[in-house]
Amino acid sequence: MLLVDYEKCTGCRLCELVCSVKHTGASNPSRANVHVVKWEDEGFYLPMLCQQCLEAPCRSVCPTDAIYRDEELNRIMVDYDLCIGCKACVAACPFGAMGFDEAEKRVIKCDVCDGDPLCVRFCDMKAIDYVEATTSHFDKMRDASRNFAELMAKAHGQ
Amino acid sequence: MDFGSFAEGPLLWIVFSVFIIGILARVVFFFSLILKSSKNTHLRWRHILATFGRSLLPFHSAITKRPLYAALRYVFHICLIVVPIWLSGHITLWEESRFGWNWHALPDALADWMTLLLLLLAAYFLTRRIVVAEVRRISANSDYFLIVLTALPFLTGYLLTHGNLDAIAFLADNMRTIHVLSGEAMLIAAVLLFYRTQLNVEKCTGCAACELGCPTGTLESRDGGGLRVFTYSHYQCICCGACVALCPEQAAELRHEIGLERFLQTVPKQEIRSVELALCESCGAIVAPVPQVEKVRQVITDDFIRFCPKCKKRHSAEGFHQLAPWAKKLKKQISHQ
Repeated sequence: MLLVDYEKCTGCRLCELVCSVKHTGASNPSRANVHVVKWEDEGFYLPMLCQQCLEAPCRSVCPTDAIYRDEELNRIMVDYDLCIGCKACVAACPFGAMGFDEAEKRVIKCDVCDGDPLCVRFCDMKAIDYVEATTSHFDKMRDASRNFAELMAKAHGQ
Repeated sequence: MDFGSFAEGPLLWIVFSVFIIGILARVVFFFSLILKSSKNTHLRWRHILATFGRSLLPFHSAITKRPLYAALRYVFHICLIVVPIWLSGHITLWEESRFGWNWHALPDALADWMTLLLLLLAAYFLTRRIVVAEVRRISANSDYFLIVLTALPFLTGYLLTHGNLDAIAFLADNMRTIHVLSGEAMLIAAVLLFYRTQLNVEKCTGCAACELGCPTGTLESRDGGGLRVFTYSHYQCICCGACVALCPEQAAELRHEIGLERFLQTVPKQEIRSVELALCESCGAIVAPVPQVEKVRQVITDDFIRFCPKCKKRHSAEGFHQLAPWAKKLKKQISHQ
């Protein structure tokens, strides 16, 4: 799975470029599966990627069951033979990680480059890193998301 | 020359010429429109041929969605084409004509059974249209007319060969003329027959998957002014049923449509449906059609669906941003409370 460390990210957006080159053949960040969200005045940069959710919203709204979970690489994948291009997954994804490629007329999402992500290879700072997914990661993620949810609840309750 | 021999002689040749010229004209319009349309630039012809060929097979996915009705329709159309061409009586007429053409005929008993089957199916389709409320609501007068018009030559032909109604003097004398005239009317109707995709307003979510699947660019959608408008060009339709097969909501349906005005409308763009689009609450970009958003909401209850993918990214990143050391101040504020 892909780990993101926002403290290391320099906001160079090289990951977007290499991702689009790898998946579409064109250097066009709008067709990439990773996007760096920036707070320029604070110097805070955050690459946003598909979270490969365990209970993926995109998967549950898909009318043709074209989205499936690949347990081996721990990723959510789109079966393009089944996909009809209704874009329900694009509307459903809470992270905006599911995109629609207007040129190819199909949905696009991060497929972790079949286990050798190009964004990781090109990120000198290792702000994006690839680690083998284990269940211990899920425990950590669960703790982190619980903290996150509490914090957000407090922040919104203010 | 009385009317009967006129209908069987010159009128028949006129109708045949109109039929052939009409079909050729439609083929020409079809190709010129396909070449003009910008859609599917790569592998287009192969795609069109493959989709069309697949639609002729009985186990096409558009058909398996409604197996019984589709099977009946399939049998109906086979009878409709096979019987008039391979009927021994018709072949004899061709042989006697100036062309002197001749080919193998169907056994008469089989042709009789196929005719009866076709009449039975036509009666079923007609009753279904009248009885089933759901179908009646979407039926126009031309739908009933088309079924009757198709069945009439077969009915009169059957009566003509078997002489069932010869007791009625008028019918006995004129059955042949009525048969020929109704057959001619059917040929003319075939030239004016088009197919049209109908998107069921109650089921369609406006996702435009049908547009992506359409091999000839017949169905198109355009977003603008908060609406997604579906347009349809009847000359391009090859009746392949790709839209019916793809529709995840079973909302698309291919319908017959008959009329001279359609034939004359050579640059056609009919609007067949418009759907309201949900716009992103923070940037105003298009998210999805409203019915689709409602449908996704039934499964996903989170709030982010109001935003476009770009703003969703921004908003979920905002959460992480607040967790970061940069936002320590905020964290302190919260913990003090």
